Amino acid sequence: MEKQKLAVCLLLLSLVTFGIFAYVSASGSFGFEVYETHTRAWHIDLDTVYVGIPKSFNVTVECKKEKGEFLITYHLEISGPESLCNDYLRLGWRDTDGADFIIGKEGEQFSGTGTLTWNSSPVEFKAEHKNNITLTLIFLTLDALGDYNAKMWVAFTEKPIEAQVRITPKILNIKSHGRWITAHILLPEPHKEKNIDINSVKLWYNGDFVQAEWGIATKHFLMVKFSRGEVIKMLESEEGKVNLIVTGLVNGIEFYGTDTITIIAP
Amino acid sequence: MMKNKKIALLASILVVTLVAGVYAAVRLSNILPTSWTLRESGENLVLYWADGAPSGDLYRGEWITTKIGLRNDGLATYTVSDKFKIYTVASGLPSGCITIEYNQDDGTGWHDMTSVLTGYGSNTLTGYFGPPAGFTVGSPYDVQTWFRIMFNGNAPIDVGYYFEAWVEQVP
Repeated sequence: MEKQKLAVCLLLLSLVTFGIFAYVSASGSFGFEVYETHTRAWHIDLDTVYVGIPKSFNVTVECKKEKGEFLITYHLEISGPESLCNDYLRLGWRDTDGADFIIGKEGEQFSGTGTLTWNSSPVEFKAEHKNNITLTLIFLTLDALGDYNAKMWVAFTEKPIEAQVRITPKILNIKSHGRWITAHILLPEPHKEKNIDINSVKLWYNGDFVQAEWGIATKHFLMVKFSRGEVIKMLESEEGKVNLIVTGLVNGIEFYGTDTITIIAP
Repeated sequence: MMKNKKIALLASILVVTLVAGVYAAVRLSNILPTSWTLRESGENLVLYWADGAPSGDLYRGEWITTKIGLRNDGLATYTVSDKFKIYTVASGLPSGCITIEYNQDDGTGWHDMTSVLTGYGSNTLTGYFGPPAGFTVGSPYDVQTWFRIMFNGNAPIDVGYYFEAWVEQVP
């Protein structure tokens, strides 16, 4: 009987969770919106574009969030004739955030054939900010004739929080037999160390990481412990000063911090 | 009972992890779709008389000189062939009735291109200018070439002659 109750509770919880995400998606409550600047429409029909003649249109990317800072990447996808490739076109990008560049021939490269894709490097974007983008499309060859479909969207994450990190011991003897490497993490206001998900905390070096084994939040910082053996294994063959990075999640937002320790192998 | 509590705790941790994981993941905006059809306007390449169109009375044995330009008003690159025809209302144009030459102002003087003419015996001679496989017209492009034409002794007289030139894309 108890098991049945538990199963029902879990099912309900799953449904509620799914419902929240479904509502967010279906209701159009996106954190960022991409639309035609003048009509605010979520679809643009350019009708006819002629080879060799520039065609401009305007797109606005708007952050609908009321607070926070974000890292966003712009994504473009253009589908056309089978032979469509980077050299067939030039797409001018000029926006109110100061970007002015070309994608396509003699510019940043589209990837693919038939369907071209491009994405930007991450850029910072503040809450409630709008970026108005003028895109100017020029096709450079008759080989490009045909019907086209394109898509534009942005992917975003919360901007990582820069934390203060102190790693001890400051001098690590790789032949010693201690048990832990300790990191003290201090977050800037208004973030609280007690909200850090300890399971998400990692110690990084050169693309490898060691996961935190346990930690305790105090009033002023979070202390996390990493297996000394695993850290030494990650740092093996290193000697002298090494720069270590600690990352993790606080309320779902990524944070990071760095500290330098010295490796000795007597 | 104790076992059920453990299961409940485990389930809660799993759900919280799932929600936190989704929350921390990369999220997407709406997708803005755009569509269009790409066509050739037929207006980007322009042939023009650069020194006035020849007209009036023409005489056998005299050169008629003119200058023709080709301009690309668009930004695309084309591979093209310049085509032309000379036609008359007379019944037939005999072989060798016309001599035609070009000069590109490059210091090499006039070059005979009479051999490109075909259609002798009919009232229309056709020809082309440039390499038979065509040539590249990039952007910007605006090149003018001198041409001269002479009607020889066997050319029909006292009839009207007409000239047309156009540009064709080479596949």
